[in-house]
Amino acid sequence: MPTSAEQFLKAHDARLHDHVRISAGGRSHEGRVMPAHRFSGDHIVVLKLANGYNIGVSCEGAELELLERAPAAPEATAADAPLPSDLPPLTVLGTGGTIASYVDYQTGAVHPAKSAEEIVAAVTSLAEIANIHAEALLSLASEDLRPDDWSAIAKRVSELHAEDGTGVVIGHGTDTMAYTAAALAFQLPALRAPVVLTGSQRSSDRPSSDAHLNLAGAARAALTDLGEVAIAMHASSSDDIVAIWRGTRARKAHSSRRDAFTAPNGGRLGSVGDAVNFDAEYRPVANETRLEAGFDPDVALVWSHPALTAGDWEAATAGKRGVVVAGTGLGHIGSHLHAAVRATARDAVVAMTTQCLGGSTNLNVYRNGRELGEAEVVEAGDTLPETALVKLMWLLKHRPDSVAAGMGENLVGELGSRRFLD
Amino acid sequence: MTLTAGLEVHQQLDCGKLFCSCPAADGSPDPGFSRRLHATASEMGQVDAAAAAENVRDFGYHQGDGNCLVEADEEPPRGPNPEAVEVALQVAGLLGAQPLEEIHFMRKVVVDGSNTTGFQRTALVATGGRLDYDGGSVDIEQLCLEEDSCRRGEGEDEFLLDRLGVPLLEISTAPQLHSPEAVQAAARTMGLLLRACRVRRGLGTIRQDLNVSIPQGVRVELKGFQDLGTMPQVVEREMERQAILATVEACEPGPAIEITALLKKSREAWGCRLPGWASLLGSPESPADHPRLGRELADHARRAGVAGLLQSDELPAHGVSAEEAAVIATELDCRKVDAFILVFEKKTLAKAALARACNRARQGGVPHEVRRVLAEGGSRYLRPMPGAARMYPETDISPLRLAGNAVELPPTLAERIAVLPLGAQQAGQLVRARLDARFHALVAAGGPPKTVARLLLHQLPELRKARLPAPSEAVLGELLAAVADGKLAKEGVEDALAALARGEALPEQAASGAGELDAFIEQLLAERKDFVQQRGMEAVGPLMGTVMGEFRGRVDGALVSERLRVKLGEFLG
Repeated sequence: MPTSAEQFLKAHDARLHDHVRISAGGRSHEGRVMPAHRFSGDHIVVLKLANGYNIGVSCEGAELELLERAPAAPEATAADAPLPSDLPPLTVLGTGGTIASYVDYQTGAVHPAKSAEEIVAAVTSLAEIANIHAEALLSLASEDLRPDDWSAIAKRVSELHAEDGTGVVIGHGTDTMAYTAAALAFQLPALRAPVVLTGSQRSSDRPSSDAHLNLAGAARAALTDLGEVAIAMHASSSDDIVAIWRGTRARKAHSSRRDAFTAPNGGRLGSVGDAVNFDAEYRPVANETRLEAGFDPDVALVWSHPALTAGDWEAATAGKRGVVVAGTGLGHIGSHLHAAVRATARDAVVAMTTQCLGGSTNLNVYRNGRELGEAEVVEAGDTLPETALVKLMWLLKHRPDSVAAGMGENLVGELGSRRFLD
Repeated sequence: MTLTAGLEVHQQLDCGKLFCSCPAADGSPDPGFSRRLHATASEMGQVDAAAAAENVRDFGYHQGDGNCLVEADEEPPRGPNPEAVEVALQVAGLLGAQPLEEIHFMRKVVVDGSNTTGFQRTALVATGGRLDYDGGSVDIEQLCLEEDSCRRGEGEDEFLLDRLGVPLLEISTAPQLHSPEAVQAAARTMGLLLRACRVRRGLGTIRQDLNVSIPQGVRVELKGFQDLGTMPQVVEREMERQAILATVEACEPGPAIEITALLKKSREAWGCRLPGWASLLGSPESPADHPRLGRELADHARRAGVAGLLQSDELPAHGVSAEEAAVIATELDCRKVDAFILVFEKKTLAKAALARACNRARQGGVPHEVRRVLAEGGSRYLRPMPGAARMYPETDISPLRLAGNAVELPPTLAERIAVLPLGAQQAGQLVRARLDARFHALVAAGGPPKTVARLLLHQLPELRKARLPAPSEAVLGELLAAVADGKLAKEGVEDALAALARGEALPEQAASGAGELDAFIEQLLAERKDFVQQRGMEAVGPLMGTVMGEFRGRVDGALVSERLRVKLGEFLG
């Protein structure tokens, strides 16, 4: 249903970007017609004035005078092919997210719209680091990515590695970047070249966007012999150092800061300033990239809390093939739920993680924990709950006969046997 | 010489920050973080000239109590602060400007480091209106509500976050001011009008920019006036500057050529010919009416990151001999009427600096630009005049409907002065110090107006100056009631305040004052019998001093005088 503002514009044959004068009650405003904002009043026409300001003008009882048609949009010209140089080749794969976001006139908020080519063109420093081949695979906000998308990304990375064996930087929304990183890590257990995810907490249409530093840092990291899926994002609030995180260990720990990512149980592999500096051991690149793509998404993640009832548990886990519990402390869930957990564990794999911000599970310390162990609940140790979720989905698909055992093994750096003081 | 000027007044509002819950507190120079800003295109796809003129470089930010993650550009903004919108609408009302139906916050791209985001959030709130000032009136073009920028720190490219986000009203007048005095009068009147509303006071809380042109010149924006007193002088200097430069023709500079080999000292140097600009560049020794274009070119070159440039009018100097200058002129293909400029830097930086200086030369005498006002009254180049391309929508804040949002207009300062039961001077002082509301409250509580005025304007400030604690409003009420009831002489207020500050109770001496006074006078008259009989009623004056010496602060002077007359009359029969 068109708004009254849209009807008003149509009745006066005024189109987007036309230069118009809208007059009512002895007052008039001249400007270019801009797309309506979803949160504007129904009768509001948005005009861009000559001085650049946008304003909302009511069309109620107003007259519109068409002053000039919108200038024809300049014809899109093919982007110049990057100049061949001595720099190493690199692929930037776009999946969407803030890093690829631009103004959305409908909601006024930002949404993924920029292509990988546009991002690369905007980040001029990339041209000094590598010969970039940019490719848009998806255009999704990260919260809209589904397990099938993880598979699609893994397959494309595998193809790219097979083609020329060059590093891949993946532009990704930050909300679920760690999930995707973990998903890629399990699906690509051996890498011929680096796979580095990066994103931004400030959209790239802003002068202060962190995309510049993050992309440059990710590109440098993708030119090393790093054979693990990694995340490269700001190490601090400053635009100076990018931290490299192990993909299976990273968590988005802040909703808005540039240095949003952390690794609660260790997992910072290094940093990128002018050069890449690794300060932890990592798996180097292999001769070829191995792909085991796909997931069984029939897995629940249950957050243990004092008010959780057996009914809640059953509603969340009924019919699931796997359940990850984000338990309290060392991996606990209220004793009043043990019977329900035991019942679930007869047909599904129930894996225990801790909801604490750091540390491992240990079901031997308290009676509550021992009872869970006796109920065939498997410990996921210091695997992050979200990584455990992805791992369980992957194991159910690719190692259906040894899922429970697999949850207790370290496959791609997601599970540690030692933890240290900082 | 006809002047055309428009005034832009920026006034901070006193209601917390515009897009977060921070107070407008002073910051501390604690180290914070560093950022780089990149010029971006507007939603129409253009990059603003002023933004493009800034180099990408590191900016340092210091944080303190007056900022949170929002100012650090680490959290999306909230708001806008409804109180700030209300004040904006009040000011619009006082100016007769009409609010818009719906306002849209925009991002005004500014990548000089003064905003952590790289843009200033601003919304056009109202248009139209008029300001009447002493000697004329001027139309108001627009009123915008925006966030203030960072304060500059000590170092180049260093900033403090405390001022960032303070609500700022930007009021622009039409270019209808035609004399330096009119500019000053309009600015002064605007300042007084703004003070009717909740605005911040003190150094830097109101700033004026001026758009100035003369018939031969173009519109130039002058920023950063130190005070209104110097405004006419600065405007006159700008008019002179434009008149001097108006005759200068643009030139098409020659290419940048390396001249390193021509210099005895081995340092890399590049130069450019400026055709027809011989003797236009000048030096510090040039007369006051010289165009001094050398300084202008150097200001532009510095934007590329060089320390400055050398130019032919000031040679030989700075280690370049007359012989070397002649060789350089030949190498750069200079004729007698041509000038040249030199930059001593490596190729990339030198060429960037020369390109900026040459770009200035291509614009001739008076470019369309923003200039910073200097303390001595002159001005220096700041940046190209920004245009509409610097604006694109602030996506983190929804449009705000103003239609139907009626606000109550506050009384103006003049109206507030008029209702005070005091002389014009005292009333003016109270209102300007924003003490009139307190005055009304204390008078309503029974305080005599003049006593209350003296208390607020002098006695309490004295107490503060002496670093003594001020009594609570309730205790002040009691003290004033005592004066009103005659229990405490108005002269006694000061002593009473001091007593209260010492933690003593309110003196209750006045209760017995009347009886004690009569007794004292009778005794005094008896003691000074001869003198009294000799002087008759004229003895009142000299005796008054003695009585007051005893009763000052306890009994009102008027009462002492009255009782003295009565008793003297009785005594003399």
